Amino acid sequence: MAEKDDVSMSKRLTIDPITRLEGHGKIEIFLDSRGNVSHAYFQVPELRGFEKFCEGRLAEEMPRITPKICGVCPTAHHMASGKALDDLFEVNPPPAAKKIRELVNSAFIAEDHALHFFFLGGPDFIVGPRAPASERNILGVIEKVGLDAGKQVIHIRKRLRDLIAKQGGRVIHPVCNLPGGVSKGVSKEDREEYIQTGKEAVEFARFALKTFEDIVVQNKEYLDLITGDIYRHRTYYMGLVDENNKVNFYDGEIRVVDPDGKEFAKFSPREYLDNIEEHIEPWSYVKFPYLKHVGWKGFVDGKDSGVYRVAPLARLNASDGMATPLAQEECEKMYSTLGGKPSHNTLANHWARLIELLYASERLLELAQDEEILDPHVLNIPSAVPEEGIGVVEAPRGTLYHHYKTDEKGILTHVNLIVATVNNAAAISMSIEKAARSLIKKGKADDALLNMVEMAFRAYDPCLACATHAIAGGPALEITLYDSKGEPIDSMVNFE
Amino acid sequence: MILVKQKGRTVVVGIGNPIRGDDGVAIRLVRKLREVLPPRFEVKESATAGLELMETILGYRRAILIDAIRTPEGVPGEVYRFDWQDSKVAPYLPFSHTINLGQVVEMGGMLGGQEMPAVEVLAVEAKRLDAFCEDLSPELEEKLDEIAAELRTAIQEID
Repeated sequence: MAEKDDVSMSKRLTIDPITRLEGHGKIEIFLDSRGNVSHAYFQVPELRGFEKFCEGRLAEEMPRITPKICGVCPTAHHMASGKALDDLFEVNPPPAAKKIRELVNSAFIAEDHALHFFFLGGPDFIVGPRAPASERNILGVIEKVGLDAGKQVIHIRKRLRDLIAKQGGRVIHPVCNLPGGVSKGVSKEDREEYIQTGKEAVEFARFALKTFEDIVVQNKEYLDLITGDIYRHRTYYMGLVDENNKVNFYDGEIRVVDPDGKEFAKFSPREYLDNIEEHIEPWSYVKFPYLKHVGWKGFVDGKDSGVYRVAPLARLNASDGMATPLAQEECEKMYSTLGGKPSHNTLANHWARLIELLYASERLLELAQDEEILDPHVLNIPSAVPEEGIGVVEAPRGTLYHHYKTDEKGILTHVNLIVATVNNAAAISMSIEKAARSLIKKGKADDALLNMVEMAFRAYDPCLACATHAIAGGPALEITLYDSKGEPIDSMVNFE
Repeated sequence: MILVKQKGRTVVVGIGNPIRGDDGVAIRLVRKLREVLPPRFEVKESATAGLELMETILGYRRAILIDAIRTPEGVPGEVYRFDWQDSKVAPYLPFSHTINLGQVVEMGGMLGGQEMPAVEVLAVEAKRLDAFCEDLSPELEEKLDEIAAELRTAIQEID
């Protein structure tokens, strides 16, 4: 998928479309006159108009509309939206409703993380970063880990998705969340099934971590790659934490730590705009969020730059650990291997993702075993006049913000979403550029090197599925080429 | 494990997102086709492709996928019978999770423990795929019955 140009002819390299990515994206690498990397950009073809599409609609439609932004993170949007409605209508869901939501969200995160490790990011390590491109895919993974392991991935995914479908109403676009709770309680029969699912998920997560240990941690070359400078950035980290500062995917406060790991900020969802601002670049539709109290200093890392990161490694960095025992044990092991906390090693996201898979599975089991989850009281009817509501959850790819304003009848007048991958947009560009600088010299770049540049980016598991899925794509697949002076010199679409 | 055998039946799957303008054209079309196709065809809708699609089509004898497409010189509403195994085209099938159709089919066969269905792809030229709206472009909306009729003929030619 990579196109390589002779340095004497032109000054650019383009990798497009990014392979094994959810949705579409584009990496542009600009070379200088010597053929070394001058700049690299990560382009996200963000869809415009979603906020406008929502305005004028009833706020309570949002948990059903927002999951349709994409087919990859629907449950996370459904959760953030449900919480935003609780806030909007000033109604606190009953304890059982909160537990049911967290149960569904845990199943979703576990399923999504498992999929990423084995099928998306996994090929880089399981098959190998220097393996031929034709083998670095899901089929290559199955060949390496064996058919039975492949079947286990599909099996556990099905179990988790069955839970989401049963409790959420539908698996792709769940419909269970209402302002003030959920539409359906947990029956005793279903609960037994969920307990079994939880147990199987925990076992699967341990198997996944063992696979990672055997294939990656025990391989010096891979470990050096993870801990090396190519994939390292000292940034701030953000994630949702519970009252003990442990990672929580569903509820709590947003905590930010600085590059030394010290708490920099801790704020409630309502205070997000006091802490986050968005920077605009002319070459991207995406706005780049940064920490307001540090400021935007460009695409640079360090304590003086407001660039922060979200997603698995950031969540672990921003917390005081995991709230479940097995995940905590694995978390300690990871930091000990990586040389302490916080870890700035972007590729360690794959490891952190598996630790979160274990946490989500353990948490799912805890919730399913909790007697209170059987309480039939799962909805408090809202009575307040709506005005403004904010909901924040952790999606698999990072912190997700939903912010709605309405008139007194609950008709939406303003919608603002900060989706998980957008939080990481600045850092992803930085990571790609740094990897490209290290790996591409004098215009020399073979397929394996370009894949290693892409690895910088895939570690974040960026989700661009809000771009079109259609066969020939939309503007998402447009390639624009620039010379060393920054002038566009060519443009093409993927089918020409 | 993950299979429900559909023995000998053909599934017609519309892929798309109904709040994404022309991206939802296949959904609108399969809703029309459901009314007119003989009972041997099962008609389904799918929000995504990739693994989701594998689970949707596994167990059938044949799967006919209908999706939106945008080609450089295409006229909205044109229908293509798509050779998805064409090596020039296959790398550009950017399904969700970027597991391309060939991999989906092969993986389904490996993990599902049985042959995947024969897959055919029909594509409908779209005008715009980059905005959120529930309406199709007028060019598609006014030709919708015509396109559905063309698809019906194509489907019955295939099967």
